[in-house]
Amino acid sequence: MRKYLLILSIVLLLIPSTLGLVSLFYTPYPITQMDLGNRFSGMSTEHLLGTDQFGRDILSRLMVASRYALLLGTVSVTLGLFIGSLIGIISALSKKWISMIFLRFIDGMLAFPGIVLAMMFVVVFGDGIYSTLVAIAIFMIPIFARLTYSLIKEQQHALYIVAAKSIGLSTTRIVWRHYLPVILPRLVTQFSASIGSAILIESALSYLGLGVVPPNASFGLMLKEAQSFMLSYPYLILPSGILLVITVLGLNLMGDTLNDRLMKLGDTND
Amino acid sequence: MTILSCEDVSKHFKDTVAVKGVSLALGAAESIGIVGESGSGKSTLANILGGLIPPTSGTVYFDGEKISDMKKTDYMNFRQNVQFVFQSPKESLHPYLKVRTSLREPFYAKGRRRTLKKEIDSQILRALERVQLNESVLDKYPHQLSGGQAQRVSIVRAMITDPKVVIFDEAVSALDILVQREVIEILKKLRQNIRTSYLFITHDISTVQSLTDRIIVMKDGRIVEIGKTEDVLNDPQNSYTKKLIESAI
Amino acid sequence: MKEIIRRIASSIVLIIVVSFVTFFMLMLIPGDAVEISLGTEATPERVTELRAALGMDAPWYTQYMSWFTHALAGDFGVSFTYGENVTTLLLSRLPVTLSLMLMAIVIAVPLALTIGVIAALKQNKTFDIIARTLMQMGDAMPQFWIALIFLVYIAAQIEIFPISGFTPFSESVYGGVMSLFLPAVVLAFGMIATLIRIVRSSMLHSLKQDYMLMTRVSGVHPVRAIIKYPLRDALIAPLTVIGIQISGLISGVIVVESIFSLPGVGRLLFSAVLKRDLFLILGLVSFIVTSVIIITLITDILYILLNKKMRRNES
Repeated sequence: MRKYLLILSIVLLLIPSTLGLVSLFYTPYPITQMDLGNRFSGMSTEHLLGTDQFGRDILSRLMVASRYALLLGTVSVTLGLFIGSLIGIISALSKKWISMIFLRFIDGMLAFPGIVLAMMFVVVFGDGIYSTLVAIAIFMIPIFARLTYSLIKEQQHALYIVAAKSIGLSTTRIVWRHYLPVILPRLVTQFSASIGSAILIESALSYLGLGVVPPNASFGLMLKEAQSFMLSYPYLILPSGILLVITVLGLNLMGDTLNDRLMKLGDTND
Repeated sequence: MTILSCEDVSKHFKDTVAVKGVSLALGAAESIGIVGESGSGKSTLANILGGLIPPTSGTVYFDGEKISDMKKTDYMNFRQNVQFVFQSPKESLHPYLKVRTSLREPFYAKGRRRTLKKEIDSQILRALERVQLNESVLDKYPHQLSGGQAQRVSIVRAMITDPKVVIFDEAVSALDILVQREVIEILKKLRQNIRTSYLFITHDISTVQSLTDRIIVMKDGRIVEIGKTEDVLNDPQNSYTKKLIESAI
Repeated sequence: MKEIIRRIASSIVLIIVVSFVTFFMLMLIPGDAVEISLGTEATPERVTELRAALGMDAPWYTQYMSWFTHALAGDFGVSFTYGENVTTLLLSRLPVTLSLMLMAIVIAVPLALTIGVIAALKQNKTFDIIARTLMQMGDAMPQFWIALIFLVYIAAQIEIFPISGFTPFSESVYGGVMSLFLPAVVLAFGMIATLIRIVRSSMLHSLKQDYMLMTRVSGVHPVRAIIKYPLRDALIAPLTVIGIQISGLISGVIVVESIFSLPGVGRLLFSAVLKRDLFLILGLVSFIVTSVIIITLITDILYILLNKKMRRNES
């Protein structure tokens, strides 16, 4: 069963990945090219997925949108992972009052609902791709910080960690070579799960007009534009929406199967 | 010449006092056994002597210096020269690292001069011979070893950098009786060739018979008897010591 | 008891920290908020005038203290764009948002409980598999897309539910409920996947423990035996995730209100962000985050109390 899900997730992910990758060199039409005489056309041999309200080719826009989504998702979560884990590790291994401060700080960040945090960020730093990227990274930081903190705390009194300390190893080395192998599985799971969330958040932001802005292409943005015409031309909400769901679904499934795999690995070592 | 000692050391935990005013001195190349039932404070004392936990009161001296006063370099020196072998061999070795990697770790201790990997590996091989382990264990993970093998690996890890003191905290207690005897034999042989001091913590007084020069008996955090091994075993002064000896036979 | 006091204390600290961070962030807004709000009328004299009137010429920590002390009294300042008291604005929009959230919860929770329990009882059979697949897919869909699909394919076809706008309950209760129904369903969609998962896994967990015992004790009608403890645990399960759910719910509310043009707090915040309306943003964000913290606190306390009770009952 698990194997099929893994294969399914890879297949699903291949779609946006290839589209995105190819978009770096080639798109059937430039994404900004308008063809006002040919608006709202359905699927055809010229425009495989039709055209939007400005006559722009939907397929090309989807390809670029995939690229942005995957890039943005991966980069922002990676940033969040690194900074968050660093904070989590430091606060787990520090003296009581230092770690208290860190924890309060992390709790503070976690108290903001995702969109609220991102919105505030956009208010201060403006919209656009880079703002969104940083905003999502900031959203991810406390998640990873909390996670690494509790993972390290769990292992802190394990005998092999005490042994490592008794050998005289430096804390950095203990973190790097002794703690990390143990906490890595959970981190990886969280990582893949978060990319999906990151993409959803980005699309919500773009949808509200606070993320990626025209004339760029993003799933959320395309959906927002589609909304204005949803009564007259409802088809428009399907391509971007479906591709978005495929991407996130693929990511989530991959995360789940990874999770199961890694859990198994941990068990055999008992 | 005393290498490790403590003076009037006590340790308080939340509601209990584990160690009450203990003083002892371990000489260079000497082997002392600390015997007592569980709860006697012997493990706590060992951890204090080894610098893993601080005493609530009292001082610990290494090579004449107070460890609480030590500067970084001296402390690192202390840390590398006082090693532990813990009770649970499989748990004290990193579950996800191969034996080879775990055995290389001591060479990367803070402040140690970097040794070449080749040199490290050859030292490891020689050490494995001394504990009668085949080099095939190097590629195994802790959970793939037997209790005896794992504990011998721990012994190698503790002794491979030639520490001045090795503290064995109930090191054979979790092993089967026959394996226990094997390990104790190995430790005896090691003693003959290497001038390390041993601190052997155990609840089973029979295990220290052939391994130690002196025995200290602890009960409820205090030392109740101390003396040369043969003297204590043949002519115990304290009634508690007598009970321990009787129950071991 | 001690724990409860500790939680309360740390929540208070948290609220203060949060308000401070929010304030600080907003102070960083490039471009003068005053200038923006004055728009075309932003002559240098008027700008200085307004700044002085708003106390914005004082150093930032003074501004913070003044804002904070006022906020404690319930005064969050005045909104640039609406010209009204922030608090008044907030209170006028609150009923809509609360009704919306309430409806969403009323729809989501019973559904989740039913589906979750049945899925657990029929583990790995058709029902369960379908349920889990739907949940997986639901997780991958952004709420606004679900909303759009609903709007296009349901609302537009069946004319009962209004596509946008809100009929206040004061005018017509039926109208009010109808206009909130679709948005509430969309919101519920967002919550339901996680809720079902929790209910199902908690049910499975309890089933594994009690069921085995019970079946050996013959004479006890299995259904009744199963239902007693596992069901109770399953029903309580959603409580444990309320904290996280509230956060997500609020995010959803903001989006949903914007889509359906509902005059709620979420949409207010959204406009405030668009217009860089400093005091409004500050006030709303502080309110929202504080509410989240308080609700999490209450849930934590309830959970502690419940645990103590259960432990006492079992021994």
